[in-house]
Amino acid sequence: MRIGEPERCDALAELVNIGMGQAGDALARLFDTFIHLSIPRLELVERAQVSAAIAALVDTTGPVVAVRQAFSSRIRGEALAIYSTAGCDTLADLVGYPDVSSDELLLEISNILVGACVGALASQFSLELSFSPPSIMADTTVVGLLDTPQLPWDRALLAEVNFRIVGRAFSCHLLTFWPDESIGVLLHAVDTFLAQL
Amino acid sequence: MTLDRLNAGVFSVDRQLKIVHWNLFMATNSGRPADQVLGRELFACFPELPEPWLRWKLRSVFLLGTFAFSSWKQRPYLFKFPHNRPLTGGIDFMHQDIAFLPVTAEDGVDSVCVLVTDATDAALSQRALHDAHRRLEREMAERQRVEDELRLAHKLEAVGQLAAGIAHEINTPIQYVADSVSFLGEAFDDMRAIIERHREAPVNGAQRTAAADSAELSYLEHNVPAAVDRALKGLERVATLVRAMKEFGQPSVGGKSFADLNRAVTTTLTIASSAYKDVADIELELGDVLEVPCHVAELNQVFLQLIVNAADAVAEAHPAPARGTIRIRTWCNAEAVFVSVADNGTGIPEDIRSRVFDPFFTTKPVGRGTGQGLSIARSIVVDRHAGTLSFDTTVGHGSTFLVRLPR
Repeated sequence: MRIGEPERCDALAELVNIGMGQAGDALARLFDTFIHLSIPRLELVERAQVSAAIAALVDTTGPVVAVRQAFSSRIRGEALAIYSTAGCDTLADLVGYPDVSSDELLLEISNILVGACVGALASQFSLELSFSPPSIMADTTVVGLLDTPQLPWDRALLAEVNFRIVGRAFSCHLLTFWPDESIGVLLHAVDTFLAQL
Repeated sequence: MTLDRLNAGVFSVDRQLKIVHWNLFMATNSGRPADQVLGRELFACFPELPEPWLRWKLRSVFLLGTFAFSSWKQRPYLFKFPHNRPLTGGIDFMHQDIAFLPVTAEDGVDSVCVLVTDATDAALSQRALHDAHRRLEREMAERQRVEDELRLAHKLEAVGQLAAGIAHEINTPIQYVADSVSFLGEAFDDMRAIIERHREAPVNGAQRTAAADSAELSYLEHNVPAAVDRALKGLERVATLVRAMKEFGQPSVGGKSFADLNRAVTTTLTIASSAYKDVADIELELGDVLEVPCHVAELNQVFLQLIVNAADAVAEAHPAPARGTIRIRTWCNAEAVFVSVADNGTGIPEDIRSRVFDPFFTTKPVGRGTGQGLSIARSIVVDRHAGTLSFDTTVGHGSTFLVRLPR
């Protein structure tokens, strides 16, 4: 990542880390089970390289299912929750209601992961976010997720964290993108945080 | 109040799930005014609500402080509200998108605001789109069925046109099988007579009888094996023809399966022999071609069409007793398998080259061609196999048609 001086990078990484930790704690309480989160990875990606960057982070060339969800306030961005083709089917018993379809479960779990992680991250920067409803992207491969020529940004800050639920065959890569002008707002929030230390 | 003017339902519940806000939209559509529900527990007021589902949603928002959503696509409605189409109808209840928003205070989320949006129009549009999609799928399936029938009809027509020739092909070996078997019958009678004579001949006459029979036995010894051989070859030829007809006529059902194109070419050559044997010599150069996924019965039809066309072109360019040549080659590379059918016939005039694959275009006399052959051949190669069918031609020198099928 090259977004300025090392102190800034370290602070951003630390804030993301704290946010994700809080999200993991909240999710564990909600699901009443132990959630394993990887150390978040931050990367500044150019539009042309985004598919390769996602493929490297998710580390699969096979088919995946994905859910997207937008968030906005002073910063705007979008999150992708990427699963293997099994999706969230193994988690049906974790949500507290019967007769849940695969799609509804996928949307429910994705919304919870995105809301918890991006929300916790935003609170680290004292940002209030609102979220769009999640929507399922077409079944595809990782490199087919984003139609690169159609992307309306030049570069984006990408944060990735991997969720696993201990004792279950479930894994989800949560990728959060802050494109273009949102990077500046985010870095300004980091600077404000550093100035308060 | 502003929220009362919204064309959407808005209500809030506190941590005990007691209703703390209830806007006019909710009151109007539920038939329960605010003063009847405020301060009362949500499920006590509306026992018909899906309680486990709604409790989970509210719990997640209280616990995580995040938004939650529900789409009409997964759950058509939360409340059984009347739809907004009292005149036009077409739907049972108002379809709803639901959003759950945390309302935070100093000590965390103290209530959840629930937004109920009327999504009936979107649901009806989507249903119409879905119905149109289904109709399109049905029409495509029907079109596919008609195309399949057309291909089959053309194939039967082609076989029908070859039927007289095929009957002749079968009749010729049957004739010499019959002759040979008849000869064998007579030979057996002769041998039985010789055996009888040897049993009954007097000792003093044995010398004369043995000399006469020796000549006859020598004749039979020479000709019986030849007759057996002719009969077996004739039967083998009939068996080959019947086998080829069976393979050629196999209906194309289901998906593609791996097939040997060299075998398909030789089978078709057997079937089509009456079309070319009097006018052309065949040069067959079969390469080391791997099996390819294909509808082989349909490809047989393509090869038959190309061979019959080549025979017609050769016959026109080389009137009897002269003969032309049809050269058939197969080969492959890493991406595709190729089959070419080349003739030294008339070639295709330049002004009709762009039309040879057009349906119903033909240069053959009435009764000889329907103009469907190359059109269907191209459809089989291109549409059914993602391949190509191309040609190279020189007037007065001949044409080469090339089938390319991806591996």
